[in-house]
Amino acid sequence: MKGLIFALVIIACHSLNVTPIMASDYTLKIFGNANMDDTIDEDDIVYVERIIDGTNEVTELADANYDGKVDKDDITHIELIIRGEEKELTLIDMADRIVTIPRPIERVVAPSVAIMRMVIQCGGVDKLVGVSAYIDKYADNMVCVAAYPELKELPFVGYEGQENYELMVSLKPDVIFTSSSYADQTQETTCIPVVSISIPSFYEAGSFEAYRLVSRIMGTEEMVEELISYADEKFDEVTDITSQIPDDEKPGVYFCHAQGATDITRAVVKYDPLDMAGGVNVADELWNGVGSTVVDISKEQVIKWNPDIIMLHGFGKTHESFSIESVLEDPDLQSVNAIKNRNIYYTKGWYIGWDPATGVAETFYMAKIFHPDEFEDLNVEEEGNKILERFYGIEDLYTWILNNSDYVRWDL
Amino acid sequence: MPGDNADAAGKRREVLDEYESFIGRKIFFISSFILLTVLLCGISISLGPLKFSVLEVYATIFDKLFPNFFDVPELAPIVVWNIRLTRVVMGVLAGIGLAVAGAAMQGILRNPLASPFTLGISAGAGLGAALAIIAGVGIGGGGKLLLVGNAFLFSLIPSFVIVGLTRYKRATPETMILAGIAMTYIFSAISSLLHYFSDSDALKDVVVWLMGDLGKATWGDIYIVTIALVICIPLLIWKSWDLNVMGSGDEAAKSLGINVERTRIFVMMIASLIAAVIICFTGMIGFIGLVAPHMTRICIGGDNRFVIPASGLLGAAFLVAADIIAREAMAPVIIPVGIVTSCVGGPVFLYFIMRKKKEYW
Repeated sequence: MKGLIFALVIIACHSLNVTPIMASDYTLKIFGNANMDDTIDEDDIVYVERIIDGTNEVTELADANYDGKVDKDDITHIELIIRGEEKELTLIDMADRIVTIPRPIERVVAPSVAIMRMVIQCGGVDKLVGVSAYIDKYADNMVCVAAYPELKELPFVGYEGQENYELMVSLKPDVIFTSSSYADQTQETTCIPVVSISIPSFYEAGSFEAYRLVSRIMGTEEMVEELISYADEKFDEVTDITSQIPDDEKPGVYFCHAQGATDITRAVVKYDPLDMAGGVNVADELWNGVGSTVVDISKEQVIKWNPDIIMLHGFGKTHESFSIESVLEDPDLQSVNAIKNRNIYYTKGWYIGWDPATGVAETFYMAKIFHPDEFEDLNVEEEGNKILERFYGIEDLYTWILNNSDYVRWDL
Repeated sequence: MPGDNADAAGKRREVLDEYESFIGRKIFFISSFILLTVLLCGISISLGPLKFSVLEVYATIFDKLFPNFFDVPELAPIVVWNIRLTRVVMGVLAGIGLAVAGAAMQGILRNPLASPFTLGISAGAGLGAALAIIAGVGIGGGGKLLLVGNAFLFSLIPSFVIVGLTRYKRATPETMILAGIAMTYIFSAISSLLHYFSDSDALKDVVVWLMGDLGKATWGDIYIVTIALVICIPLLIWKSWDLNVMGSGDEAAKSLGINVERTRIFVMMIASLIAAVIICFTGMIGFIGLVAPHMTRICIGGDNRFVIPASGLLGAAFLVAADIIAREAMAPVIIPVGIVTSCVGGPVFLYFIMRKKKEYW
């Protein structure tokens, strides 16, 4: 009997032990991370010493100075990386390309709005020297431009995939971030290191991997690790409450994508903030795990789903294609619960792409709409301002959003 | 009777004179096309956001040939060699290739509508590219190689299908064109389906690719395209006399000892190959394969021995000019050159058709 208990204790201890390792299965893909964990530290030096004396197998990232062999020079290079004094750093980017970048990074070009936002949130707004031409068009609707109006004054290097290479070269950046499939050509043509970043489209496991890579390159990894934990905690704050709510008490929500649509027939089939805020996405049955998150459906389908709440994606004070009013007046939809009870609201969604900062704030916003009783004491504006300040370093950004949109504003 | 002889001789001389002046006219046009191309390249290379002087630009170019002889400003080697020259050279090559392919296809099918677009070659390449970008499937490993390899492979499918079909049914120009149009529809539909189910990032890449762009070309691409052109264009010119004879009808050509079907398939394959090699690197640049041969025929007549090379030169001039517009119209934003060729080419083409006095086709 004693033996059995002992065995159980061993098993219990073992499983406790395993969990944290599973949680940090992120590998920092920088040459010098010889033991393939999530950081470069003294352990990597020990690991390389053991590779040299033959005890350890050579790992993919052991060749710190990327000269094709693992030797004493790599230990020197790892020591430099740990002290932050290395002159260059070789890494594997998110398109599995091996890129060598100079250190430290002082000048950055980001022709993608999403990556530009990432650079800003990773504390690199001062290092941006060229941005997307997108800003030219949408400056008035962008949170990051509201936070840093000086972005409008930076040279526009074109649209991603269609950049003005000559202009990019003239800005003499240390690194170019891109999400297009043309990373190799861009690097070959401009002779500037190009790091390929895949942009997450919503909150999911690994969605901050891009942040980890960008911040490591910018040298702000400690700050960004804290930011990631903060975002996770904030999401947890909502889900701790919404996960207690039984599914049959959660409202059915139809999230309608407005871009390129003339009526409410573009369904968003997957949007994490909606689920985390305690809603049931009525279009969830159309989500197959990959591919497009926006699907065209018929009005008949909306009537069949009969959602309790409709969220319209968008921003701004003008609603060109359709508005809450026009949907409410649609004679075809009068049988739908959300229309009968006038439960229809605007929300940001993917307007100008997924931004975890506004995504966290939006989760609180939707939670209060979906479950007014559970979130009675929640002050969305105050919470939103705090969240956006944490990400952008600027006060009152959520108030700016409210002033420039028709989102719900609760009087307290 | 001697008077008759003198008359006949005089008439012959007259005809010969006219023929010679006609040839002279062709040579005049061809040399002016060459001049135009050179001039446009010269202008194109000196334009850009970085304000190098014309002299500095050419010093940078010659510096590569005679190192340390010239004063080259900072950044100029990268900008001029990697960015501007690749654009211009790819523009010239793509212009030549697309126009030559179009001219040969129109000649062989005796149909003014034939071009890499109407025969499904572009649509095939488009589907290949969409598959590579959206689904990540296809030949050639990954990244650019996957994209280019896939586009190339798929762009050849229509030609194979057309040739295959015509093996069972006689290879008449009509069946070939109709088969090409059918392939275009099929490929476009599958591409649209893929676009519809793709996420926004992939879609953006596909859209950029579909619009056609010279900025993605690297020297490596240029070598490959050059080799393809150097091999294929002489083959087409070699066959151009047969094309002329076939212009008077299959029966007439057969009676003159030409294997019409074989020649048609051969020229089709070579022209498709040229178009495929170019389209897979530049994306879809429309209208040049159609416009350049027609404008050439309006200027110099229908003799394929001249039409094929002259179309190439005019195509090059046209594409380089379109690229200048694409770069400068909304600078620093670069408009995809395929949009410009269609926007500018369409009206210019209409003007030429309206203005022509006699049936040139």
